Amino acid sequence: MEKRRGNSGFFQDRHWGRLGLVLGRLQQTDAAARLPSTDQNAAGAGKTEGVPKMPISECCACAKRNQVLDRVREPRDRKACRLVSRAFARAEAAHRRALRVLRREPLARLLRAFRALERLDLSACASLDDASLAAALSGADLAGVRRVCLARASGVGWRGLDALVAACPRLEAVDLSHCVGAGDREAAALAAATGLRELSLEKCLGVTDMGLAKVVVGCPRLEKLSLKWCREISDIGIDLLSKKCHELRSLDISYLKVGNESLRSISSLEKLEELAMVCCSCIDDDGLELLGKGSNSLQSVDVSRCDHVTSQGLASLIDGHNFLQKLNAADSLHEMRQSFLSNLAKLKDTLTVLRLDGLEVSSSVLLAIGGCNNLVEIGLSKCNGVTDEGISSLVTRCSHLRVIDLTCCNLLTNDALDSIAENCKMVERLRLESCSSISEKGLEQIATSCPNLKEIDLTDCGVNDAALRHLAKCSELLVLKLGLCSSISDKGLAFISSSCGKLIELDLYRCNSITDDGLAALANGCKKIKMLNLCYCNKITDSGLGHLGSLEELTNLELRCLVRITGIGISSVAIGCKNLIEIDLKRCYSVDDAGLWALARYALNLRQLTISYCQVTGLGLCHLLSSLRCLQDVKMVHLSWVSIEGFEMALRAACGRLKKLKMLSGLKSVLSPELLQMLQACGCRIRWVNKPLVYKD
Amino acid sequence: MVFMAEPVGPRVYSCCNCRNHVCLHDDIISKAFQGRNGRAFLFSHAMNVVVGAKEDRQLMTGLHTVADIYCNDCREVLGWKYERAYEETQKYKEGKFIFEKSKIVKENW
Repeated sequence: MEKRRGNSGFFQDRHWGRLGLVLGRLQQTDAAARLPSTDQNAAGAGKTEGVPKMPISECCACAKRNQVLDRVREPRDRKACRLVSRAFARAEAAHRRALRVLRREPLARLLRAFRALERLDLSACASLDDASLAAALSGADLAGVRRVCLARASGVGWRGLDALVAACPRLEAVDLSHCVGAGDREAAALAAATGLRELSLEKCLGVTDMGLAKVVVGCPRLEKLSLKWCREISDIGIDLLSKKCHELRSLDISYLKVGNESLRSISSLEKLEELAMVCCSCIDDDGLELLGKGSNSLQSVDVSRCDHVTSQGLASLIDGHNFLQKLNAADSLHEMRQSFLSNLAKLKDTLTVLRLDGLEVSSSVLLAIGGCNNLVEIGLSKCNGVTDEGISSLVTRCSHLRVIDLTCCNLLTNDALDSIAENCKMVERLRLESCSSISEKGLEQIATSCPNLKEIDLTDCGVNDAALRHLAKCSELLVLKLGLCSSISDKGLAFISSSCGKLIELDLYRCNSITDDGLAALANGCKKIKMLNLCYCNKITDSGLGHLGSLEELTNLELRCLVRITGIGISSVAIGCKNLIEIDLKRCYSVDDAGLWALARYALNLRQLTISYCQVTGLGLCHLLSSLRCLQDVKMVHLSWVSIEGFEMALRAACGRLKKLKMLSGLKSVLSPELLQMLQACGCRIRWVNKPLVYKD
Repeated sequence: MVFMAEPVGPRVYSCCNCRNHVCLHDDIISKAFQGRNGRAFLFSHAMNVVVGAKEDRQLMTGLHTVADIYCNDCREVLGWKYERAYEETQKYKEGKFIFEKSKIVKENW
C-alpha cells in the first residue's frame, strides 16, 4: 500500500475532532510501517511539508489539542498522536519540547520542524560530526534550547561546539561526557556560553587547567560541574574554579590526582552542597579536616575508594557539617573509630544515605548507625561481620529505610529478613546477592510485609520456585535478579508472570532449568520487560524465542551460550522486538548467517551486538555491518569462518559509525594499517584480546 | 582533536583490604564459581599475590590440589590457585586462579 497524501486514505482529517486523550497505540498501517523505524522522530516533520494552510476551525481546537498533548508523555503515545492527522502532527511538532535524534541524516530537517525544543539529545546520533552538526544548526531556530546532550559524541569537536553555542543563546546545560578526545579547545568553545549552569566534562581526557580556566572565567554562573576522570587537572585549576564560580552547588572531582590543597580551595565555596571525590588517592584526613572547617553548605559527600581517608577524617568532616544528608564512604575505610560513631549521632536527624561497603563492622557499629532514624538508604555490601543481630539492631529504629544493600553478607539468615519485614515496610530495593543462607521463609515475610518492593537481587541465593510464589505478591516489582539460582523452573516464572505485570528487568543468568514454557509465561504476563538475561539457560530453543517476539518493549537481550537457538529464533525476536538496542549472542554456536541476516533486516535500532563464536561468514558479517546504521559497538572474537577479506570489507562498510570494537589480537597484524587508522580517525576504539579458542557447553 | 588509545588502561580489580592490584577483568574465564563464602570468578592470571602451600581439597567438582592465594601486601586470603585437577573435564582449571567476589573490588572503573 502506498503512502497517500490526499484527504482520504492515510490521514483522516475528520477524526481530529475527537477530543480526549489518545490512549495506547493506533493500529499502524502498512504505510506507517514503511517509514524507517529510526525515523520515528521525523514522522511528524515529513508530513508537515507541503501541507496547505490551517483552516480556521482548526485554530480553535489547537489550544485544546495542546492541553491533550501536555498529558501525553510516553514516546509511543506521542507517535500515535502524530499519526492521527496532519493537524495533530503539526500540533505535536509545535508542542514538542524534547528531541532525541538517532541518525545524522534527518538532523537538519528535524531541527527546523520542531520549534519549541528545549532539550536536545544527540548522544545516540550515529556518526555525528562537526560538519553535519554545524550544517544542521545553521538553518534552525533554536532560541528555546536549554539543554544539550552530546555524551559519547566522539565525532564532535570545537567547531561543532562553536556552532552549537552560537545557535543556542539560552544554553544552560551541556553534557559532553565520554568525549575522550575533547580537550582545552573544546572547553574554550563552551566557555562562550555565558549562561551555562550545568556542565559535564566527565572523561574529557584532554581537558587541562587551561581549558578549565577558560570555562570558569567564561561561565561564572556554573552551578553543577563534573570533572570526573579529567586527570590533567591539578590543584591550580580547582583553586581558580573556587575563586570564580561562587554559585557552584555540585562538584565532581572523582578520580583526579588533586590533593588537600584543592579541598582548601573548595571549602570556600559557600553554596556547595554536593561533593564527589571517588578514588581521589591524594586526599587524606587533613584535607577532610580543611573541608570540615570550611563554609560550604554540604549535604552530600562521596569519598568512596579514597584509600587514604579514615574514619577520623570523616569525623572531623561531620563536625563542621551537621546537616549532612548523604555520606558515601564505600570501599575506603578499613576500621571504624569511636570518634566517627559519636559524630554520626550528630547527624541523626538529617542523614538519609550512608554507604560503608567493604568495611569490617560489628554489632555495636550497626547499633550506632541505627541511631540515625531518618536513614533511607544503607550500604553494607561486602562488609565482614554483618550478623542477624546487627541488622536487627539497625532496622528496629530505622523504619524509613527504602534501600538496603547486603550483597555478600553471607552470615545473614531468614532472621535478618524477618527483622527487615517487621520494621521497614517501605523498603523498595533489597540487594541480597550471595546471602546463601536465606530461603523462601524469609522471603515470604518480606513479600507479605513490604508491598512497595520494586527491586530485589537474589543472585546466588539458591532460591526456589516456592520463593517466587511468595514474591509474586509484590505487584510493584520492577527489577528481579535471580542469577545462578539453578532451582528456579518454569513454575516459578509462571508465578511471577501471573502478577508482576510491571516487571522491567529480569535476570535469569545460569538458571538452567528454565525452558521455552517459562518464556511463554513471561511473554504473556510481563509485557513491559525491557531487559532480559537468559545466558546459559541452555534448554531454550527457537520456540522460546518465538514467545519473546511479543515483548514489544524489549531493548536488551542476553542469550550467551544458548546452543540450541538458530536463525529462526533470532528472526522472531528481531521482527517482534522493534526496540531492540542490544543483543548478546556469544557462543550461540548454531546461529549462522541466516540468523544475522534477520537482524540486519529487522533490528534496525540495534546499537550493541556480540557475535563472538557464532558461525557467521564474511558475507553475513558484511551484510550485517552495512545494514545496521545505528550499530556502534560490536564484539566479534573468534569468528572462525570469516576471512581477512571478510573483516576488511565489513569494517570498511561500517567505518564511520563504529565506536567500540572487540576483536582477537591476532587480527591486529593482518588487517590493513589504513583500515585501522581510518577506524581510529572516526573515533572507534578497538580492544584487542588474547582469548584461547575454547568451546563450552 | 586528539584521540587516545586505551586512555585509562585495562580494568583492574584490587584487594578489598589494601587496594593492591591483583587481577584484570579481561582475564576472567568464568563468573560461575563458588568460593568459600559465595560467588567467585575464575581468572587466567593473577598479580601481586603469594601462592601458599599445596593441599588436596574435595571441591564441588571433585578432588583438586589447590593452594590459597594471599595479597602480597596485607596477606588477606583472596581465593586459591588450581594446581592439579584429577578429572579430565576439570583439567582446564590447572594453573588458573579463583578470586572470591567479596574479596576484590573494582579499582578504576
